[in-house]
Amino acid sequence: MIPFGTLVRAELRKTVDVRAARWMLFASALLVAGAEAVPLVFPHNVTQDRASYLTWAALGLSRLLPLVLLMAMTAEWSQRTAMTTFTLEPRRGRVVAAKVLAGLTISVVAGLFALLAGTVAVLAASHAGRVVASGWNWSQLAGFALFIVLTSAVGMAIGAALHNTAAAIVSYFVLAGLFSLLMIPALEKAGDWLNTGTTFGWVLTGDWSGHVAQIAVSAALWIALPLAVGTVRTVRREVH
Amino acid sequence: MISITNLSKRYGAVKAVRDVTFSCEPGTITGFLGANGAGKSTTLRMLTGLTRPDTGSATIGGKAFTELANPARTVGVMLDASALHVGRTGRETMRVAALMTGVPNARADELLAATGLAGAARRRVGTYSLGMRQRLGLALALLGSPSVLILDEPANGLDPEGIAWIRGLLRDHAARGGTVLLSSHLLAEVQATADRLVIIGGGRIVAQGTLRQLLGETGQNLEEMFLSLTSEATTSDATTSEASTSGDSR
Repeated sequence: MIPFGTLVRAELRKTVDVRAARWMLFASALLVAGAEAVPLVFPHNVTQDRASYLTWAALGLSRLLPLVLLMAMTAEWSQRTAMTTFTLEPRRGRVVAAKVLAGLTISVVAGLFALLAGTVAVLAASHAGRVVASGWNWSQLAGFALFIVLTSAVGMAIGAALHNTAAAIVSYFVLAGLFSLLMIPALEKAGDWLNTGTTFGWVLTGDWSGHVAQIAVSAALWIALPLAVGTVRTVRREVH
Repeated sequence: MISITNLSKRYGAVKAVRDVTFSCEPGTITGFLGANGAGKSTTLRMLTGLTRPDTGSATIGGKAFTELANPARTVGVMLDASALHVGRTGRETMRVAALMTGVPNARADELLAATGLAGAARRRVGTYSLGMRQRLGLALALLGSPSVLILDEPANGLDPEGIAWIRGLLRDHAARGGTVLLSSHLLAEVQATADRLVIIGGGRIVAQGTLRQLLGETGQNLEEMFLSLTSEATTSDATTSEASTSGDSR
């Protein structure tokens, strides 16, 4: 059998070896840099501590990175490469698993870049003579990492479930938009369980107390469910 | 060795493939002939694990395709040359496949040269002509040095030089004991390359045997035979499709 590590390496390569993905990763890097300008330029509006610099970096990263990973999932079907991929490895479930692991690896590397960008921005602010609380808050750092992984996983899961690039991208934005309506007061209770804008926000700010179940439920709805549907569809679907 | 036994597949009311049985021996080139929609591609997709058969089985060297450990090392497959990522270069397409199958990059480059794509290797597949995509698809199929080749319309889009090249390649492959199954709707192409013919019409095998046998039996030229066999199958299909439902092997 093809070693699983080999499949992961192949999927990693396929995620970044096409021009569209490279441009989007480059744009993601610019967005992170741009997001870091917010706490730098508006010191009176943004809390000057390391946590808030990291929060801005994570928000910048979470705009496009999930789409890069979504497209890696849909490309097999939209570009019809499934025919080649699944004749090289007919155990399709392994290919899906390798794609997920490759996507998580990319999100971790991107997270390290965001961490670096946040650190540089804090140093720059301090260098400019500003007082920034630069202590490390480990639970906040863990939240930062988990937020990046979770937002990336949502993109992967929706791509895995829908197979079609255009439909997946539209759904990703439209569903996120619809669920953000759950922030309005009358629907707030539901939103606290279903809207990742709310629940992943708690993850990012390290606000875990009383929210663990809510975060888990929203992750199950947005990640585990579509990924499971996508895996079954991929294994069963006829390849033309 | 390819073995297809009682393979059937239906899509709703349409029986795309009905009770197809044939085999391909090592050292031979089998031409799989049929008009468009006759069931060729569906049969080849079932053989390569891309479509699940309703009934029957297809094996390569005694194993189902989906049970092969690293299929590319046993079976080279090219079913559709347009199923390539347009954003990837030819070289990168080959290298990703080499990585997956554990083949050295040097072998990937060697095949790009052999298929005449060395000069275009760093261009994106989106800029390739149909003939170039076909060559890249063939290079992909040959990558793992497989003993069995399954090719759907391999000469599609190739120029006369390319067609001569692929004929030579397939004959060499069979001469060294390899097994080749190639499909086509073009009679002349198959006639010039294959040792054996399997003719499919309306999802059913209508004739099979060596070129000599088939031509000797009918005393017709192959073209007439092919047309009469496939049109018979199609007309009988249209008139008796409902009546034959009960007798359908399941």
